[in-house]
Amino acid sequence: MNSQVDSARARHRAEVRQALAEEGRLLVWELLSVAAVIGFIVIRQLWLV
Amino acid sequence: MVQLAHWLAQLGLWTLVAMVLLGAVPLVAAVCQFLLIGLHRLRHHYRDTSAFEPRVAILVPAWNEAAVLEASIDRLVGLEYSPDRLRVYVVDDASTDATPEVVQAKARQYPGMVVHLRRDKGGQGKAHTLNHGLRTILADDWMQALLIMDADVIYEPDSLRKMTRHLADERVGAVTAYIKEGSRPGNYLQRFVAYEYITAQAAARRAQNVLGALACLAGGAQLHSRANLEAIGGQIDTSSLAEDTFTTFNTQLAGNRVVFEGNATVWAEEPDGIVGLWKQRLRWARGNVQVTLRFRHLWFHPNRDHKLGSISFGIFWFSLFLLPVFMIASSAALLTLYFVDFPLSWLVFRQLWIINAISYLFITCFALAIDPATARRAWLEAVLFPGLVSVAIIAYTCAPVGFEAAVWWWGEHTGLVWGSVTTRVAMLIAYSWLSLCMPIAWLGKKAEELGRGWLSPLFIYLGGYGPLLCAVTFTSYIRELRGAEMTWDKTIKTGKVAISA
Repeated sequence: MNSQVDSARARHRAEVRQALAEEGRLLVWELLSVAAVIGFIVIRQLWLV
Repeated sequence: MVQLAHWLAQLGLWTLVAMVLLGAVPLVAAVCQFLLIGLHRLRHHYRDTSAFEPRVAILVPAWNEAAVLEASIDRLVGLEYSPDRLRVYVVDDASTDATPEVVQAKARQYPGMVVHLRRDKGGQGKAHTLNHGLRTILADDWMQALLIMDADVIYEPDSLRKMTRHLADERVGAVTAYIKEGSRPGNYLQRFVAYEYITAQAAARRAQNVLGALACLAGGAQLHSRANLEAIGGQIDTSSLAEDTFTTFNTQLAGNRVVFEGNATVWAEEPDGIVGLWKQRLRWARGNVQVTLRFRHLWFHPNRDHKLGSISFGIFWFSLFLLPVFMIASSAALLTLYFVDFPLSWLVFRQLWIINAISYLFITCFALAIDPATARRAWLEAVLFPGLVSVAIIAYTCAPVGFEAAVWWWGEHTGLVWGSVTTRVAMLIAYSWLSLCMPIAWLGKKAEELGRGWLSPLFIYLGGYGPLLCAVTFTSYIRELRGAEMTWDKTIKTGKVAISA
């Protein structure tokens, strides 16, 4: 019984780590998307208009 | 007197400019919402979760769902969850197909885990069906948490466990999951829905987690604690077409938190035709009108007990709810400016579309990164979500010189004379496009109704899927103003959901 509880807790911790990693990935992509937009604005102002 | 006339003229012009810029409000609000997503890494509910497995009753409303129920029940029973802590209650809403036989066969196959409840009088809508099941489930104290779902949705094996972990925190009353479009192979419309769900669920609901106020628990994936169900009166609101949104609001008004679990995935089959999609979305949109009116005392009234009255939540809600109003006001003001002060109209038009272009670029890039699997499947629909014409206007705004050169080159090779009249017509279409795109997208539905369904994709790609939803919202205003009957048009499901899990 105890081993089942330990295993459930370990699995929970692993899944939370995985979820936080996913949220971290989204944060990185958000920053990259903002960088892409800033890059686009600079390119537009310099070469496209 | 002359000065007063001049002052009034200036006031009129600036009012028109402000009205034009209203057209950018929904996209700017969406950008703000998307910017909150990154904060979800810092402001989340995971630190208050634990390996918690309450006894879960799964409530499945079913009306003529024989085609999908067998697979759904098998999947539910096979969830990664202790079997002795799981029961499936199928409320058969007076089905006339093989639904009773399918459920009874499953009840024999999984004794004690599958329960068949039958309503002799059906067709009153999902909320009545749910309440029938709720009365039975609440009558004994076995259930600690209740999962409300749709008969056709398929839960990933670990999804329920990922949802229940949030209920370890007693402040949480309800949890919802990320519903993904699961039809395979699926058609163009289902790929549009797949992309829409990234923006409306995976993105928007994460942002709402950060704000601390959730707009809607997905109808196909609502997990409630028993305490929450009792706090909201032990039943689902039957007076509207948006029973899930009412439940979401009532939960938060009862002082309980609502959490979106973006890593719990649930697959659903969405309509493969515009007429079916229109009926489904019109029901949702009319429900939103009813919610907006019913909870009118909440909007923009910050409250200590819940965040539904916060300014930010109100802005996000109304930027979508009033989308058609913003679009029509913007186009009308632009066209007026065109005749009153053309140089100013051209300046404002370009500023409006530069804002739209930047917003579109950011939202599309980020949304595709949020769900890479859906992005691989629906990238074209993501790019063309606002419609081909809007994308062309965005391209022109971004690179006017290159765009004009391309148009001239195209004109020379096709023999199209690009004279002043053509330019003026193109300009008037571009000015009015924020409104015009809605009837163009609506023609896609009309084509399907007239048996010319092959034309529908053309109208949707041209006018845009976003504008189609906008047209639905506009229609919902009219239906509600007319007090049209609240009919529950069931979405036809064929069991085409296929997932690898």
